[in-house]
Amino acid sequence: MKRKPSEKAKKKKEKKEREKLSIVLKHNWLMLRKIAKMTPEYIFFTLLMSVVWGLGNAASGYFTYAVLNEFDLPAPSFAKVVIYLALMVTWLLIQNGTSAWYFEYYQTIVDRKLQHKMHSELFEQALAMDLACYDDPKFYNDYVFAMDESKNRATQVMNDVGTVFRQLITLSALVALLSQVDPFVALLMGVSCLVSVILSNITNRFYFKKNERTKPFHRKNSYINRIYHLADHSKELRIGKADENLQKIYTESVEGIVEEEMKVGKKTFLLALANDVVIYLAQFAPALILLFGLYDGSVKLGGYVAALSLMWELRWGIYELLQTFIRFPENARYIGKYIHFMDYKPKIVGGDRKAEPMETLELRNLRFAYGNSEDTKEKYSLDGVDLTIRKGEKIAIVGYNGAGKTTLTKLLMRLYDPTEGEILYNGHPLSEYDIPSLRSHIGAVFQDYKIFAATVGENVMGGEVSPDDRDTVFDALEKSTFSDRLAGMEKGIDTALTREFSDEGVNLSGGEAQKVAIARIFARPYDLIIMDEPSSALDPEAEYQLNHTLLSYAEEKTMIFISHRLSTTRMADRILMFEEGKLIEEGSHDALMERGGKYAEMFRLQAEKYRTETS
Amino acid sequence: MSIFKRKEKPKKENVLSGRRAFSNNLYVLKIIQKVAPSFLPTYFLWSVLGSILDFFIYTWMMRKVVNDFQLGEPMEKLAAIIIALLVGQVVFDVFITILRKVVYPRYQQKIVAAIEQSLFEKASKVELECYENPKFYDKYVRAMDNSYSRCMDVVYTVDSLIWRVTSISTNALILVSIDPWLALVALIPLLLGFVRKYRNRLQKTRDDERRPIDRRQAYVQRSFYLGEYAKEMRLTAMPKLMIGYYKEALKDHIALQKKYGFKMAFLKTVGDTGPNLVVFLAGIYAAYCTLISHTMLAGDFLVVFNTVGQVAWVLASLVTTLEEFRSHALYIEDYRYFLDYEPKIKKNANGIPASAGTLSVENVTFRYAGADRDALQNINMTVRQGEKIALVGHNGSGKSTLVKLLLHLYEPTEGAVKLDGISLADYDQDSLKEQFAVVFQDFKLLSLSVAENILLRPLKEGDEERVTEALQKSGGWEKVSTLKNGIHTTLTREFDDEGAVLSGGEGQKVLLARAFACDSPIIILDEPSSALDPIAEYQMFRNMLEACEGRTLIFISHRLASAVLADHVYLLENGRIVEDGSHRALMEQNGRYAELFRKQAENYVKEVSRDEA
Repeated sequence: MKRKPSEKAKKKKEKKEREKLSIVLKHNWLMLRKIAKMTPEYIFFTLLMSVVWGLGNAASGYFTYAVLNEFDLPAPSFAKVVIYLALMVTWLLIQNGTSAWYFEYYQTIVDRKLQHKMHSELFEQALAMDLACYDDPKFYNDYVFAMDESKNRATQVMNDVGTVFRQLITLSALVALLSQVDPFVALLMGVSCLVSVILSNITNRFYFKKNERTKPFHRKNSYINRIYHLADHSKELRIGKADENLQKIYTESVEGIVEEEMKVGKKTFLLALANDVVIYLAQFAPALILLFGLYDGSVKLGGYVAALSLMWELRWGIYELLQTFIRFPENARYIGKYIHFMDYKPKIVGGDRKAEPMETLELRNLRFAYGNSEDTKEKYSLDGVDLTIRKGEKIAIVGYNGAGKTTLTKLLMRLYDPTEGEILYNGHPLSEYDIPSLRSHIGAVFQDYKIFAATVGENVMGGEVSPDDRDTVFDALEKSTFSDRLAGMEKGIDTALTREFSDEGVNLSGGEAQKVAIARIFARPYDLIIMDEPSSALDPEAEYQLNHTLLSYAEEKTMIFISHRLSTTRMADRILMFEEGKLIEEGSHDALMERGGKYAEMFRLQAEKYRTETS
Repeated sequence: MSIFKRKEKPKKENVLSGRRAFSNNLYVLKIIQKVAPSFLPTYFLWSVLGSILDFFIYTWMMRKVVNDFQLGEPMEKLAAIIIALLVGQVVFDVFITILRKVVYPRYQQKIVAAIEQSLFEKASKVELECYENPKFYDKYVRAMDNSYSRCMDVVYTVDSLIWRVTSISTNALILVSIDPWLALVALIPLLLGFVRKYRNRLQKTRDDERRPIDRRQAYVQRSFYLGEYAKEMRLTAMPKLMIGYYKEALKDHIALQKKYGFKMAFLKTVGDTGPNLVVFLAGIYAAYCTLISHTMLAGDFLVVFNTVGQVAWVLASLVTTLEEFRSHALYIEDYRYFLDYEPKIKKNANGIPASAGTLSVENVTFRYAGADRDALQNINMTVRQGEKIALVGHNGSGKSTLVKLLLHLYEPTEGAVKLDGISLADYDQDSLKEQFAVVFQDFKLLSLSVAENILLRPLKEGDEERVTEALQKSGGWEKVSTLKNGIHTTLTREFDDEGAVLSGGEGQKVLLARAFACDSPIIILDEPSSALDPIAEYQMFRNMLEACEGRTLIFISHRLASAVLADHVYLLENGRIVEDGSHRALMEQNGRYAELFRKQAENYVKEVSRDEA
């Protein structure tokens, strides 16, 4: 409860900051410059189209004015009228043709080109980003946002600048025409348009607030909608009567929405009416005033007609201009996030040292905590680990969930840097090494491994498959015991995985996917292999077989594997038992069993149920 | 050598007959008419009145003023007309504002609720199988998606049609009154409608072809920014491959634009300039009549100049409006299909009330819709009241499917599932539901309170103690007691920012309370313990057995150690029961079960016995 006021204050502060004019201008300008650098032609054509459209909007008024004034002359010339009309239709043809070419054809291409260039930059930055950033929800949200929105925002800034430019041209042309007819009427129309735009903005603000208030209701309703249409909850819905609970929530929130709608409707009723009356006055008053002028000869017929018919153009112009201005701060806010992301300097940067094949790996008083803030640091995921791993060793890491096993492997790959202490690779700190070169020696299968929407071969190689690689891929899949499944695939290792792109893609089961992921470590000549619960989705038989292949393959190599299943750990040269971030026991299976410590206890408990039943 | 090179087959477009399209639109209008009887007549009436008023102000008034001025009519008369129209406009506005501010929103919410609720109701009735049938499911998701706005679109399209017709008729009337030939000129653009139609079709084809390309780009984007890909993206050469995909997509985009863009631009120019040309021709004709033959006044010229274009434009866009109805109809087709679908498993409210008894599975074979092999084959089993049954086997052996058949979430393809000798379908399904307490492997927590998640029904008096007690037994109390509102805490943060987020293990423990809290005679646990370690699982099953004296318990596990506790074990492999009997009997039989059990036990036993030797 205490937090609420401070959060509100924070929000207010944020809002103030976001509306600061200099920042708004700076950010929009920055984006424009970026576009100018990446696709200068985009800027050129946007401005060109603005001129064409801006003049076009005012053109019909000018032509009406010219033609009717001709009528009003004592001896009107038919030929002149025909010329005016011909000029008009030619102008419209040019306007229609250029805008069709631009909007139907060209804009899409230049837009995509811009998108490509922006994304290339973003992708590069994303790869350089520290993995720790993914753990910081605020940063992560901004980051996803920058990724998702940047391109749209660039287009938006471009469009907005174009709109402002276009409307300024239209409005000046209109005002010029109107003042020629009757400056007072021009002023009257201008002012009432402005008043009307302001009134509608006030009304909009009320609606905006209403939308904020109804958001929770809509969130509930869309949640319920999802519950019904996603397969996820289909079983739960059928085994009980939770249906009734959901229906109640739904009905209540519909009532809530209606109530809010009525409230805002009543509140803005008079405002809306006033707004309309202003518009009507702006339309009818000139009709009356100019009527007097018409009869006393100070206004020509063309002027009378043009002034009345331009009223809408004028109002629309002012309205659109203001709406566009409102969007610039919004653009700036998004661009701010983009800049924040692009300016982020990764903390994990490589050195110059090229990594040689691994000989030793030393951990010295290693401590690590996720997150940056001080209060989270009290909870160390790794708390003072000292350890040396030599070439060719087979290490098993065991412990309950949350003991720090997976974290340790992430540090070894330098996906995170230690909070305290250091890791030495062949005697030098990890941070001195060139990162790609270091990682080229380490092969890993993660607990939450990911299969990409690419071919089987590409998934195994972790990238493109050159013709020379094909045998490697087959061999790796053979070793990870995937061959049987592969034989059933028509296109072999060129089979597309997942259905992201095509319905002909193959979705693998958990166990099959795991085998493909495991094949990755056989496909490249890694010296250090890290397996994080590599066989959780496999049944015991498959696991047993896989473990044997792994061991025979890994003879020379260093292997670190994490497993829940203690049976697997027996194959290891050395077992490391972790508890709450600390290495509490270390040794061979036999030694640890003899010692009768935590490991032995864990092992006995698991074995017990089986023992009593089989013997 | 990309996997995308394969040409995607263009999806065959669903084409509805004109009659069906019409009937679908009418179907929605009828629903709306039924939900909110006075909405449509009011809405359409005021829209007609509005467009007639517009005609008087923008076309008629202008003509009147210019003509009368030329004819030298007194100014006072014209001023009076202008003022009268102003008054008319303001009066009209008061009414329409009331409607828009406080009448329409209420109707609209009513219509949303009615449409969504009709879908919800149906969704909870259709059998589970529908979710696994991709074709049905697609239709269903499409029907659910934006159902409301799609239905309202029908109203808006009818409204725009009414507006167009009114506008054409009033304007045509004035044109004919000036010169009948002009009506003919205005008809020319009707042909332009077909140019537009062709252009729109091109655009649709282009958009359809563009979608898979966009999907590729979006995927590449995700692979860069989603946390789940982050590790692999840093450790492998995948980024290069992904960027390659992206570049390829860009090329495809440009090629697509070259293929369709120019054609579309040309057609658009023709379509847009057509009405302008008509204005040009009509303008010259009217100018001739005004200046040379003197059969028209300046006001008439003005009307021709302004109105011909408008009529031309409206006529040309009429075809688009009709196309809109067709596109609504396609969507409504899904909606109708779904609402008209007769669930195979009926509620059968007048069926036999179910009560505890023997559950029997007789020669059941089951195949998922669209699958090419049976998920279950010729299954026979009998579960007497109070028995403890274990279903074991590898993943994909059919255990979970069997459970779903027991719960009557599916109808068997062959054979029958019976309770006390009576087929499940013959029971009142609501009372049948009450016989089971179930926790699924892939359980989902609803955004309801802890207690409601456990009971899966609205709370009644006395439920509090019942739920608390059950949680204490299931081990969930430890967590729930720390929550601010105890068992009334909302789960998940879906729409309550103070909702509790439970880990997988905590969620399982909380839901296991279901078995204790419901008096249901049959408890089914589908791997409810996958998030627990083997020791905790064993412990959990033991507690469960003690607590469930007299009640039937069916549990699934792939850890055979837990099967030891059951009275009867069924081993499934590839959809068949390969062995069954008590643990002891199966071990003595020394078959597949014994082999599996030993394999799981092997490592432990060897070690432990050597230790003790």
